[in-house]
Amino acid sequence: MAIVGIDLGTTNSACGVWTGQGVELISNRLGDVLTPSVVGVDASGEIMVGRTARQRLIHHSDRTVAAFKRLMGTDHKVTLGNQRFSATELSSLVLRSLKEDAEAHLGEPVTEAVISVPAYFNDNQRHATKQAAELAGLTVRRLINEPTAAAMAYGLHEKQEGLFLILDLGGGTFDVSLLEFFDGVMEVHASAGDNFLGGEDFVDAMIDDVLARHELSRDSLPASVMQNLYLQMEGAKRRLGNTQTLTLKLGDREVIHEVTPEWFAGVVTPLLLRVKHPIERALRDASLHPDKVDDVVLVGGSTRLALFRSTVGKMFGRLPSCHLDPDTVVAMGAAIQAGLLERGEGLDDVVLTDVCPYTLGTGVVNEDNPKLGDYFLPIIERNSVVPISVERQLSTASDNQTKMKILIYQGENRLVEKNVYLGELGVAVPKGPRGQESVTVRYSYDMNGLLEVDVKVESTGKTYYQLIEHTPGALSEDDKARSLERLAALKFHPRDGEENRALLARGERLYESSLGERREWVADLMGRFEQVLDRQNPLDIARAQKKFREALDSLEGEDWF
Amino acid sequence: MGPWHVLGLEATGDTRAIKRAYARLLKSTRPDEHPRQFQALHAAYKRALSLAEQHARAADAGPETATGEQAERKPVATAAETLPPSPERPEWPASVVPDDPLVAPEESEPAFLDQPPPPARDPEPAWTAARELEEREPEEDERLAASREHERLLIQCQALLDREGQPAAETEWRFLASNPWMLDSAFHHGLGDALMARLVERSRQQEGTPPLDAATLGYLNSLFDWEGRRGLLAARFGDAAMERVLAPLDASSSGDQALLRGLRGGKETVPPARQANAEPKPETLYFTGMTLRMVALVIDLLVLAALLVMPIWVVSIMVADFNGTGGDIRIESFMSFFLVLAVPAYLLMALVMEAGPRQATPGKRMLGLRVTNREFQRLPFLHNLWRVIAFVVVNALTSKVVILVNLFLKGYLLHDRVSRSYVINWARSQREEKDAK
Ligand SMILES: Nc1ncnc2c1ncn2[C@@H]1O[C@H](COP(=O)(O)OP(=O)(O)O)[C@@H](O)[C@H]1O
Ligand SMILES: [Mg+2]
Repeated sequence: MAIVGIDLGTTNSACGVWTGQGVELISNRLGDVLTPSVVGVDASGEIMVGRTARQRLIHHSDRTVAAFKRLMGTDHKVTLGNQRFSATELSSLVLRSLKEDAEAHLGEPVTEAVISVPAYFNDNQRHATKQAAELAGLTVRRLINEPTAAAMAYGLHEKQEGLFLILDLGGGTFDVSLLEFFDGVMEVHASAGDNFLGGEDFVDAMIDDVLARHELSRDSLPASVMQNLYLQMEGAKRRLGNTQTLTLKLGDREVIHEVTPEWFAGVVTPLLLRVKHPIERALRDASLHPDKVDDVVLVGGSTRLALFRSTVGKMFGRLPSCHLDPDTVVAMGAAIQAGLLERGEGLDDVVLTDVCPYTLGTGVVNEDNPKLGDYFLPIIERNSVVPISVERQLSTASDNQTKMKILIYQGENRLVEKNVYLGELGVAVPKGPRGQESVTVRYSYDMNGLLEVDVKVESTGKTYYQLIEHTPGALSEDDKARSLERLAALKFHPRDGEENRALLARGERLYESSLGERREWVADLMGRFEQVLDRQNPLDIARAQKKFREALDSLEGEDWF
Repeated sequence: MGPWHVLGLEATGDTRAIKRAYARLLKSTRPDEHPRQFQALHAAYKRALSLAEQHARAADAGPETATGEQAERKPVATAAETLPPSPERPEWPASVVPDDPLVAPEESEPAFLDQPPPPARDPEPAWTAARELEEREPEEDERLAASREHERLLIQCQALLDREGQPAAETEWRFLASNPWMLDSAFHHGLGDALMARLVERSRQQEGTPPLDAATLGYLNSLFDWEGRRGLLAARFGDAAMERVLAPLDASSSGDQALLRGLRGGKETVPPARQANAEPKPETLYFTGMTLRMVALVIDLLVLAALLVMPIWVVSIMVADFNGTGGDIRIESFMSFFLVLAVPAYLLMALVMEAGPRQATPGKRMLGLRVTNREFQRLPFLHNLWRVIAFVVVNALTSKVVILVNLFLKGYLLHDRVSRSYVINWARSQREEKDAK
């Protein structure tokens, strides 16, 4: 049984398998390689995923959600219609859709996957991804870091040795990995990134600037107006280059807005500065001069921005390369990793070594300045090569202490509170004067970037394993069973006829956003198409589909969403 | 075990050979299959590389001595050394490899790699030097323009800092981000460091009060990454100064804003519910003294008496009056009602409530006490049943002796010991923790 490689992106997801000759990307039910990571619920409560759902993002924004990857590893929930979903559940719906497509393509059940996650994903986000896969009926054989996956695909493609800097700017995350390829070894030297920086933030910055110019706030506009504005700005971002004149509807006002490259540059400079920080940090961590980098490789849709390229180009004094499709290279790399795990034929033996991008540690009492809160005591330093296991002794901080709470954090701040909370572990210790009792804490970080913590109480010899509590976004066994039950009860759009539904959803969007004659025309087209669908003659339907699509294409020049 | 032994090599300065050896060994020591051996191998590899690099640097500094010394021990490396430099050996310093002559030699790193300049030097010219390296052949005009822009922005910043009365709001600093020069690494770092120098100066004048509020500082930090470069800045301005200036950043908490911003669609988002068991447990817990426990017991019994026994007693008196029987049985009947009703009711109550979410009978709860197991967790029901049985058996059998012994047990009483449970003075534990903070 094949292991599939999945890129579960903020904006788009994709899936591939290793075939022995190379990676085969799996087309979804609509024939596309990319499946938008959008989930919607229709009026009858049925779930849809992908392009159809994305078409409904404007006019059914209360029943559709995108970019939920941002909420992974938190306990936030999203309401769609009258149902409530966690980000883990939403991701599992996307994974389930990819799984079905892969099964249809391969003609066999698919139960195992390699899933890519941003290198800078923290432990909570990684656990949530793993659980999303479990909810979708997939066992995760490996979580691979996205830039590493991209490097795999590049390494295999180019067969070039040297030092590479991979920059992955997607829809919601930015990752930097510095890695070296030699003699069949792919060694990651350092990873850094920003979990809240991506193409969506560029669009948000544009929107904020427009709203500020017209003295409006986000909350004062209805959701559909905001979604429309968002789509217009997203389109404008993709067409930069020359000046565009947009007519924006802001509530009851209609304004003309000029999108020029200069305006865009001014608006997104803070974001571009944030792009530079992790790059500098990765180089600093590896104590490398930018000149030592043999090639800068761009991955992710947002690296298409000319401004991004020139900013990076200036840092390195050379133009970055992107010979492979930045949208699918991560899925290809994940599929290669899947092939390696199966020891698939046709793959040169490549050994991958990766690092942990964050420092992992615990809180210790801050005696200098208790007001600030506890200090962060690093246990595993960032950019240590993984898997790694480190022990540390901690002792009681006050007399007669009966319990030691090991707080588990990930991050770089010296104040523990400012780092990412991963959970905690409470152990009972015998009473005694301060400092007498001690425990040995062991942090073990595995190849998937997942952390395990054991604690041994020295005086009693009692050991506590894997009892991390309160992990944000994680499901207990009970929660998981409940969630599985709930998801099993959901109805999904059947795979057949998805193309028709996607076309109708697009027609509906165009109907809602046009006026007068155009509107009538769209309504007429949709009516006729529905009639053909009712007659259920496959040949007629295929012909009508083509006509309908062409008619819609003629209405809007491009269909990027 | 030395790194060379692990790698199966003679000591060498040839990084290519080290890599080759490492790669070969790695194929049989995969990180996912042999994590422990892999860590050892990787550590040896890194160590060997750094030794080789040291050697190379020494060779670079004094070729004669280094080569001579090497000739004794490492003939292989010497051979490699005399070979014409080839691109196969990428780790040698740039000066050895015939390289693009425009490429800066490795030693002189541009300032934006954050080599902290010595504190005595004026920080500002650093970026000008860095520009030179970065752009290789800087245009004279451009450099002039940059330095003029740098001055201009700094003056604007200083004006905002110096303003009397209402301090400048975060939005007033936005002019920095829209400046096109900011995308130039050297300019950006130069400006960030210069601004930090002013802030440090200012906090010194103001004796400790941080010169910027949290919002402004947060914004400027997102532009200049001061937090990320804290170590480097501290090396230059001193730890205390950084602490003073960046204090508001430490105190502010990052909300869910960033999280929810990029999200598209959805009717609403529901923030995580406050966890029911989020109540923090004090680090230090105290047993409950004998007195307090007796008081709790008395309260419980009084409550039960008031609820159960009194009404029945009153009714029985009324019935007795009605029947004409005298008043002399009153107290005894009260006591018998008490023993038959209140004591079993107390045991039942303890059984249910001490294993319940409050972990206490009403009396214990009033006094802030909690029953726990030895891990300070709530007792499971069966464990609590055992506790109640222990209570009855221990106290009923030898009650006077027990009370006497208990007086000396500092709140960890006999029946607690028998039933392996604790009665914790939760209120006191929490109070003391709060005082300690
Ligand atoms: N031509 C383009 N110009 C600018 N941005 C683009 C372009 N094409 C795609 N993007 C942006 O790329 C992002 C999606 O990239 P992708 O790599 O698919 O993200 P993810 O991996 O997070 O799903 C979106 O934010 C989109 O706006
Ligand atoms: Mg991606």
